[in-house]
Amino acid sequence: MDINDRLQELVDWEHGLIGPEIFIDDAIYRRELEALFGRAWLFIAHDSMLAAPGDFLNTYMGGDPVLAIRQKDMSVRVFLNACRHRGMKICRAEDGNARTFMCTYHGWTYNTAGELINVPNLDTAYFNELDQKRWGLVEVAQVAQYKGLWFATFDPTAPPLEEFLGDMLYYIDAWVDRTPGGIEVLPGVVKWTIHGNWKLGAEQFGGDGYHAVITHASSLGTFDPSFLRDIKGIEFASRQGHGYSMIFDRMTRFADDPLGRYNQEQVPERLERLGPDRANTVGNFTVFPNLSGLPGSANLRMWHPKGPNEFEIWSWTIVDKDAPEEVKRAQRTSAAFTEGAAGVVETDDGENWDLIGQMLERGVQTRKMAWNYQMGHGHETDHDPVYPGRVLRNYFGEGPQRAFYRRWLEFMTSDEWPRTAPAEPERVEHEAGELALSRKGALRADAS
Amino acid sequence: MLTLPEQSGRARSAPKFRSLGLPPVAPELQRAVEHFYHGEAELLDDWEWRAWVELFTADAHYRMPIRRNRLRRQRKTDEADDLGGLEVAHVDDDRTSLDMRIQQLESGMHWAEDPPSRSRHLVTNVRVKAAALDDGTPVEGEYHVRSNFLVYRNRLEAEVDVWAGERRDVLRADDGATGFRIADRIVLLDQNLVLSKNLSVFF
Ligand code: FES
Ligand SMILES: [Fe+2]
Repeated sequence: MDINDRLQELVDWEHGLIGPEIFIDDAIYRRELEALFGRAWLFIAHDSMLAAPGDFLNTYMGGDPVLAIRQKDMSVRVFLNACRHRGMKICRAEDGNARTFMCTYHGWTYNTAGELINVPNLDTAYFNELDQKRWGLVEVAQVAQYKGLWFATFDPTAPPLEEFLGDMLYYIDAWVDRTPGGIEVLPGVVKWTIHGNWKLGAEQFGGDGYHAVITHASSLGTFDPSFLRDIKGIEFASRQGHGYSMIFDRMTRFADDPLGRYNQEQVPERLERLGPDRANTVGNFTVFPNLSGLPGSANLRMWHPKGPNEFEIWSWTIVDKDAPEEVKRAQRTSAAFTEGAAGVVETDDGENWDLIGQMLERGVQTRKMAWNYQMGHGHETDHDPVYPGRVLRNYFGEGPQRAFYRRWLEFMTSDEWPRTAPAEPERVEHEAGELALSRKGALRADAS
Repeated sequence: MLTLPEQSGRARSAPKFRSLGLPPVAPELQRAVEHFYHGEAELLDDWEWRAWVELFTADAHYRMPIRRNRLRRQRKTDEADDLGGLEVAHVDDDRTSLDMRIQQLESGMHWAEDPPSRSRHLVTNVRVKAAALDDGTPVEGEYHVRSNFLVYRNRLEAEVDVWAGERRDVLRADDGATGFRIADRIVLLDQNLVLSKNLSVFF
């Protein structure tokens, strides 16, 4: 069977049925690296992670290591972290500041603009015949940012970033733009490894609020039992594959911590900037394909694929840039307690994803068993009076997961960048302040 | 005592322990601290978490910084020092949050440790130093102890993790049954990328 036919058969998003081969099959994974990670806009860094010219960081776009470098003109450029001579990594530090990067294999040296500026023994080894200009680092096709969030794509034909983010912008604003100073990312990344497929994490953060009640019964359910009781919220599913499960009237996971008090003080400002529908909410989201976060636990993360049955979680802590130092410190402490490899919440997620991965790796019959993605099916609307996207007025549902796999299937089976029909007409917003204007309005505010 | 063979008729002095930068330590103190660690490891490996957490003082911190890959010229000589800054950490607990972790383990719903992991804590290279103030005044009954650990975890059917690292403890002599209490612990796990699905055991 042709791989496209096979994928169509495995991903019956319309009926909420997924064949788990997509989480384990090697050929599907190879296709994913090319057709999905080779084309989609992928998160690189927040502004604060590359504060000064020469600041660099190492990350991944799909399976490939890339080096993001802040330029003198404060733009960000992203290069394959691979030497043009024999493909050795030219930079092995995870972050830092540098003027040049010398490959430690034979010494080819590149500057922060990716140009090859030195080749050892150019005369005696190359007879001065090597045209250095042609051997600079390979650069990604496009780099763009939205409110300090930098993304890149390997595909020159990818549409603009804002079109890719689409109706997710309304929800991104709820956490990047709630104070005048915006956010900053605390130094350091918590990284750990799951023997499972990266999509298990990405789809869960997009829409699976349902798991929290059971998976996190010993943490969320024990430390603040009110947190999981009578949850009021919505689920948002984007035609672009993004998703968000939003809980109303909460500002952090634990009501009485120092952050809760800080957030309480911020309420008027946030209400004015975001309007009542987004201001005091927490939740979990996925920006298609592999950026996720937990507004409310100040968490932002990537799901880096490392093979069909292995992924890494790279987890950052975000704070309001203008918050007092002790609030930032409290956020750091609180994030370490709940999130990360040792977080009381997240240890239990690892148990699920890793064991599912083990079963798929060894099994045959378990691979043939379709998984159920039918929750909330038929109860969603594309015309919610308040919230953009396909919306379920309920915290439990699997609309975001269905939207995620619909979009995934389009990337996996199309030869060209899979454009969707134009988004829903621009919505005219309630009187929520300038940044809650229409989607376009918000973008213009950013560009100025 | 180390003795070396005589060479060319001249006795060579044995290398001095002190020359490695380690202060001499009374054998009884060394033994007492190691004895304490063996008992502590037993509590962890026997899943006696409540008794284990009682080894910490009320004002104790238990922290595990992340470990970074940075060029030598840019890294701090001591990564643990950055705990005073805003760098994210694997664990940044005080006694209250440490107690909450015990509560979680006892909830019967902490699936990552239920069924519980089988673990072995091997604690070695115990280096004891009497604590002193900046001006050199000794702090009575307080010790700065560095030790190395190897923790083996085996869980469910076939899952294995091996973690190596160092613990930097502040121990306080205690009249009670345990001899010491832990006033501060910094765990340096020797991994940048944590190679396991979680860190649901204590170190
Ligand atoms: S591989 Fe980089 S200089 Fe040869
Ligand atoms: Fe979870």
